[in-house]
Amino acid sequence: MLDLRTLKHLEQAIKAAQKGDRKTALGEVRQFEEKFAQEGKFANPTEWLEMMGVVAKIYQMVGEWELAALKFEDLCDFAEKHHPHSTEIAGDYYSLSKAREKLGDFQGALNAMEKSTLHLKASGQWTRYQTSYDERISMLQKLISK
Amino acid sequence: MLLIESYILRQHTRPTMEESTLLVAHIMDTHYGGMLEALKKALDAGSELQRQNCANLMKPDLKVGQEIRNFIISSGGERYLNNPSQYEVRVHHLETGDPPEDTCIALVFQRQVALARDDQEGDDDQIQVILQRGQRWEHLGHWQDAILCYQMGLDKIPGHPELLFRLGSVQMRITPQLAAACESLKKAYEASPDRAEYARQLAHCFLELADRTDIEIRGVSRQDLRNHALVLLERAAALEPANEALLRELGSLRKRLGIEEDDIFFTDFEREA
Repeated sequence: MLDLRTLKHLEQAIKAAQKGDRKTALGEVRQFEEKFAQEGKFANPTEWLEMMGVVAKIYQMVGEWELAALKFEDLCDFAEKHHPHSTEIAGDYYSLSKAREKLGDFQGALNAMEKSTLHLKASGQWTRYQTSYDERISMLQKLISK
Repeated sequence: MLLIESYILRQHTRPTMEESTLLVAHIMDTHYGGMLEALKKALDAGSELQRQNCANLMKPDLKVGQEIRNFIISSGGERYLNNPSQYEVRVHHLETGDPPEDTCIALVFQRQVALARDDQEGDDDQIQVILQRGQRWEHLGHWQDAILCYQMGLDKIPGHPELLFRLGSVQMRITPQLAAACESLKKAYEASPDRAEYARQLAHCFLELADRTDIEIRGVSRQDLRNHALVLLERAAALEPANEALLRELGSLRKRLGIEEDDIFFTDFEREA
């Protein structure tokens, strides 16, 4: 179980990110991670995934794409072990793909989309997203071939 | 291979969860020799294996062998049947219960995980990816992110010495984690005592801890920590006798601890004896 004071930093970071206050958001995330790195050993994998997911989204919200991409990589890697073949991990790979695209890493973005596709298929949700995924994959392939 | 789910269908009576766990363990042990230990570990860890589905057939004219597929589908396991590249479903028939009844047991194995676990190169690739990402975090000055990255790596590959070494090295940068750094580096060194840089970094960590008067140390004196550091640096120097920086560091520590050259020969002689 995480200390509520630790979670408070995350809450403040979200509020700041929503207001577009990048500096405060990143500062609060740092303070959260400082405490989480010590308390994290008491957290279960689901809590880890949730916390990391929120941090990645905050980086995304404030436009820190490199940090967001790294954090989504962390998250996907961890989820591969603890929550494979779920729509959540498919969504995390999708977000990773978006972050990499923002960084101009189109091949990396495509690789993440392919992973996302695999997890969506395994979770039985593929047909629901197939059209939008096919469009995005096709767009990324065009960007790579340019 | 990794067992992720089981489906047990019996003719008349529904098996209890305890019974189904034992049945699965029995089949694993009988048909997949050497996997019982893995199964026990999985159960201890409260893994996905807890996902056991048990039922009995209400209609006597139906056969468990014919109905197991429908049972899997109705229990939400259709994806296992539709993705043979990722999952393998193995069906076993036997008589269980008292009195014995026809029983059909379907075990679902995950192929991808099995490949990753069985193939050492797969682990090596994973470690490289984690180490590179950790170093990218370090490069950005995000020590906490780097720590979390290495910790998550250790969650995937517990006890990996290089991950422990990197984790400890980053933890050393953060005062409140200095004690944790010593622990991580100690584990790395114990796992690979032939790596000079592991011994050297652990020595640095002990010295840092010994010098930090703002940190309370229990169970060992600061002088003991310095002496441990000296032993570690000596071992590192023995492993890399041509490393001049290391030798200078060792000489400097010996001087600081007031050890004369004669004493060095004496201690070396004593150690050999």
